[in-house]
Amino acid sequence: MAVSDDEFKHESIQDTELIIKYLKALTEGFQSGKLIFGTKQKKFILEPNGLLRLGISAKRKDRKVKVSLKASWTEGKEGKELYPDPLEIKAGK
Amino acid sequence: MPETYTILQGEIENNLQLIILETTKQVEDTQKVLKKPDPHVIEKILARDDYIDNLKSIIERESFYSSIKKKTSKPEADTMRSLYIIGNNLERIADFAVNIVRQTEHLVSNEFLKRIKYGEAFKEILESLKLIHKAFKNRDLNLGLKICRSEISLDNYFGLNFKRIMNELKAGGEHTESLVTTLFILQYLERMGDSLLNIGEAIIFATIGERVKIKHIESLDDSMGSMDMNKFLEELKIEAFLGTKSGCKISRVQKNLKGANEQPVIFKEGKISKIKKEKENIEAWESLKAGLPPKVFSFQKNGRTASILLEFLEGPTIQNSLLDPDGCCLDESFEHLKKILTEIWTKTLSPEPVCSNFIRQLKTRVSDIYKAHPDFKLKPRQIGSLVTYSFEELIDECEALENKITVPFSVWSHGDFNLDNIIYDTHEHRMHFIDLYRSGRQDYVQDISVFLVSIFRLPIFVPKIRDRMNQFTLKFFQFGQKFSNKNGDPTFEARLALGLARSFFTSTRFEFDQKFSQTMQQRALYLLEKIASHQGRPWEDFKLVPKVLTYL
Repeated sequence: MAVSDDEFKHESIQDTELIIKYLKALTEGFQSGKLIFGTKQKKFILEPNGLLRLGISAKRKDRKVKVSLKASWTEGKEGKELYPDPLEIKAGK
Repeated sequence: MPETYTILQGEIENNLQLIILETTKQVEDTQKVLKKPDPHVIEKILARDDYIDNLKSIIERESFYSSIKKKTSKPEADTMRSLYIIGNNLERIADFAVNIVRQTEHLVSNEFLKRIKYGEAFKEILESLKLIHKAFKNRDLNLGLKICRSEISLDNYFGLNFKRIMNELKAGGEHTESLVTTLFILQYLERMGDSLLNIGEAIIFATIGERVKIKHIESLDDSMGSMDMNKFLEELKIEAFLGTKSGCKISRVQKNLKGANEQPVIFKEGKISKIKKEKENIEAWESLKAGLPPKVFSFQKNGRTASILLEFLEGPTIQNSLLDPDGCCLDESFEHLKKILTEIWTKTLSPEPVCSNFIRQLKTRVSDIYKAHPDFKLKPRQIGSLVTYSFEELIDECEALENKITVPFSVWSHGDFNLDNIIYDTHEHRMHFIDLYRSGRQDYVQDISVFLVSIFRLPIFVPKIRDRMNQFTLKFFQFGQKFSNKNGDPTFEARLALGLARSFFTSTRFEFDQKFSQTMQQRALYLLEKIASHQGRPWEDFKLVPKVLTYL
């Protein structure tokens, strides 16, 4: 649900087969550096690049299970990432 | 004129007409007194009281003792008995009139009488009095019912004015005495309604030969139904009762309280086509399994409408057993239910193809759902490269897919197979199905899906009870699966997904708890998405995730 101009929320029920579509779409967004959220009329674009903070948590309590995945970052002044040259991490020996 | 009426000729008929006339005068004069107290009119009322009492005694003697003196047939005896009830209740109405007049003496000022619109109540009473003779003479069930209905109107009238006066009393002031007096007057008018109900029931008794107690009046006319506040209030009362007490035990108590030889009935009226359909369906059910549907006592056409008088079946519904703190009789009733459904479905199974039509049924309800939940109007969403359906697109897509899913056979189905339409008599170990006007040859998944969602949608969140509801749901689902396997129905689960989606979504229009209604809406959307995303693959491979049926 688009809550305000720059907020998007979507809740639904999925099964393990259908949820993959959503996870794939998000993965592709991170890969391409462009994540689009919204409706036909109103959408906003996020451009994740550079450093992201990733939080993964899992919890089980009274038969209720929750797995959360949270990615956050800070944008530059015009929606761009704060640092012009993203840090590059290469696998070293 | 009915044959039995001939015995009314002569003195008894004369006395019946006389007592109606005198009671009418009594009520009319009482209205006059309430408009403007006049000692002459009051005197006439008091004098007439003895005369009416006398008339009642004559009717009582003639009707009651004539059946003892000579051997009478049952219709004759029924006529006499109802005449006795009518005479008695007319005399009571006349007594209430005297009581009202006596109350006026306690009013501090006659001006006070103008504060209440008594005219409405008197109009209702006088109109009903006018119908009594004709209703009795012609054995007219509809007029009998009309008389019964005046009790509801007078109850409502009393309720509204009672609240008004109580508020004035609470506010305090100098009129306490007059306000209390007014309450008494109103209560006597309300009690006149109770007597009219007895009279109406006596007329129905004379007509059908069964002593009835009207438990429920239903209108199957769409336009009337939507405005029927009484039905709405009645349902609210039932809901409150279900939410608090053990239905299983209470219904037993109710049975004990029932009057001797009294047959509780439901009176339904509406368009001829609908009432006739219900009657035919009941007959069809009866021929399949005797005693499963309610008995039909009478069916009458009346111009463009028709009415039907049905046995009011008592006993706990499966819903009562499910919500009972100890799950009283649940296992027993479930075993019985499985047996009956297997028997009926097997007996009526026919390989002719039918359409399941779940999405078409859903479409007819969408505007009602949006009225209750405007935020359910789902627009397409974009999440990265994924674009979700709008609700309209989703149901169009699913409707096209539904038409491609083969329904291998049809069976005789209930058509509105809610939990509370199944009664289990724990004493007689008998099951009954009620509300059968939607029955017909259909996909059996229709009944299974409605039944499963009727459990889910109960707003019960007590873990112990909900666990039981979930277990019951899963057992019923397994029963459906077994039947489908045994009868070669490989697309059962795909059709069930559509039927469930329909029922989840349409059930939201009765649920105003935002969280719970959203839960049902989301399940409906999930099931529809699941169907849509399955296209291109064989429907035989479609598998339902059973968790969609359970909650918590």
